Amino acid sequence: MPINLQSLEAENPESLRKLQRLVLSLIRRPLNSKDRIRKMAEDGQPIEVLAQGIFEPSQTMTSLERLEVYNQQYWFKMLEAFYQDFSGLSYLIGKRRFRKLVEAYLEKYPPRSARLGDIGSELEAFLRENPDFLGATTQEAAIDMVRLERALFRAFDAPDYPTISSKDIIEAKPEALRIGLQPHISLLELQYAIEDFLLSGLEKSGMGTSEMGIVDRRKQPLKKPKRFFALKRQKHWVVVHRFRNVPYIKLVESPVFRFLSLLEKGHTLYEACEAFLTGNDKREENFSELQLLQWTQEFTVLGWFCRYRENVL
Amino acid sequence: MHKESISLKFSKFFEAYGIGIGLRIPHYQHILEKKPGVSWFEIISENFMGNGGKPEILLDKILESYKVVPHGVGLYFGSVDPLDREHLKRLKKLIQKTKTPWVSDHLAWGSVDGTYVHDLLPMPYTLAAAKLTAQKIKEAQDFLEVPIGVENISSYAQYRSSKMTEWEFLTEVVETADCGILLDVNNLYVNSQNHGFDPLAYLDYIPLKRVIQFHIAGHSRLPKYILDTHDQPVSLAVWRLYGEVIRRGGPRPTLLEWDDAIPSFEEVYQEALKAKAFIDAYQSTEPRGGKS
Repeated sequence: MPINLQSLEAENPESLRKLQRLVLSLIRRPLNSKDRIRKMAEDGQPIEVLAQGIFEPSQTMTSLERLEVYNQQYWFKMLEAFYQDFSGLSYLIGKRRFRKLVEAYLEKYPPRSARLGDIGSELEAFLRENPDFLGATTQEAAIDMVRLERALFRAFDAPDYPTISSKDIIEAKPEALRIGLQPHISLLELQYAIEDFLLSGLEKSGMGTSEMGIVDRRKQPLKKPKRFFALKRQKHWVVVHRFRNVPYIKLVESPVFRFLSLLEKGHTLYEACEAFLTGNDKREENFSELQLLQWTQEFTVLGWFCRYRENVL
Repeated sequence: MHKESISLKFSKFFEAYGIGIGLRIPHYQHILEKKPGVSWFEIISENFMGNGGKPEILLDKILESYKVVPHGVGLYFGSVDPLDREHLKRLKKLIQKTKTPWVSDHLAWGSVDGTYVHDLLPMPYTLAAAKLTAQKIKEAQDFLEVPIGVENISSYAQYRSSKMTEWEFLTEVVETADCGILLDVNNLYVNSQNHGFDPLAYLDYIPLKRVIQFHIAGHSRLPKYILDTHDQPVSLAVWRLYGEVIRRGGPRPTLLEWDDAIPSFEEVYQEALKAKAFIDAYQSTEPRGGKS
């Protein structure tokens, strides 16, 4: 249904809302292949006519050109933010496919928070729902990558709670002791060795918001990976964590992963140890106990353990 | 806020804060290691309103040695949507942590029906929009318990529905909300060029006593318009305008924004310190204590 431009006078809150809805929908309309504003709105109305109804032309710019500035600012900023937060996924599936993916994702999951860092929070769900955007890349590898990149963001952004020491652990009763993992820790079971791919020279800063209106990608070409990586299918387990303010990816063995997962879910230390020892039944019991003790000490030194809390974040 | 005291109160902020620069990632290491003598830093509030992770650890270190003022991009006073209470609560925590005497955000909108564009969009200059915006600023100011300075944004479009000028709209909003103005001198210049108005007419009209802080920055002149890029030194035209504002209303805390193609810390800070010449010129012509 054509929009009545008379109703966009912004003379009361309702018409102001209508105006803001229309402007926002036009700004969010994806750019064309030449990074210019499209001719038609989503409902088929000519954008030029709508722009003329909304904005005055200036001496040097038409109404459409003025709208285009904001349309470009939105998309350049969004794409830059996604390239920064999901650079690994971008390299995995290719820039062109990545851009189409971001456009479709933002259509389904538009930004719902004032924090730019939250924009990709539903990307894993979107990839599960829409594997067609991934081309030849397997869905599992792409999802692994997104989970790892979100985990790195979490390692950067999440808090540290006061740690608990080896002494605290030794003095408590294992049957009653529940140990929490720091909120910056993510336990990931991965199907592909995507961390090798991700770490091939990519930089992640995790802080994207600035007041600067426009991010001009043409001035800052994206870095290319230093070398080509063939993705290996290889089930493995990693802990993404922060140590001395730097995010790390640490490979762990399956029983350790299970031990930590149980602690994270709220099981007691006793239950987690039992599961670890059962999972290691091919080895000597004494050896397993010793290994568990060493690892627990190492994780304590790394500051991974804190008091258990329900719903950490 | 008590209107008679506004000018005096805001001019005192200058005595304590002077000239500062925006805290940006490429300078972190230099600042933490060398501890350069800077009066204050401005931070983008939303970058430090997370869950307590690395950004906040860094902020704690900065606060050991420096004064910090949060400057937001996410309150969107001009959006029809109500204020995000969770966002406000986080901002209040940041205000308490930094112990800032004022806080700022923009006279802009950027969300509707809960969807955000992460950009600062210009307002239609109507009375209804001014009333709604002022109401939201007032509400935020009451909750945050510090004065809010609203910043005039750079813009590239003007609405057909506007019934007043930008400076009339700004004045209507700040008088109704009883808040401060963060006067971005670069944005004022950019808009005067993009929309074809006299920046001095703007200064003639707005209540300069409400100016709580200044922003200065560089811009880029494109073939058809000026883009607010914050990627180069402040232009001579903007410095002249800054001098004129100081001459009329007296000095206020002044902050240089440099967000892209960021040079060394020293280069950015030296650029900011150019403001000192205009402040000195004002102070040399005024009685002790200056005009307020």
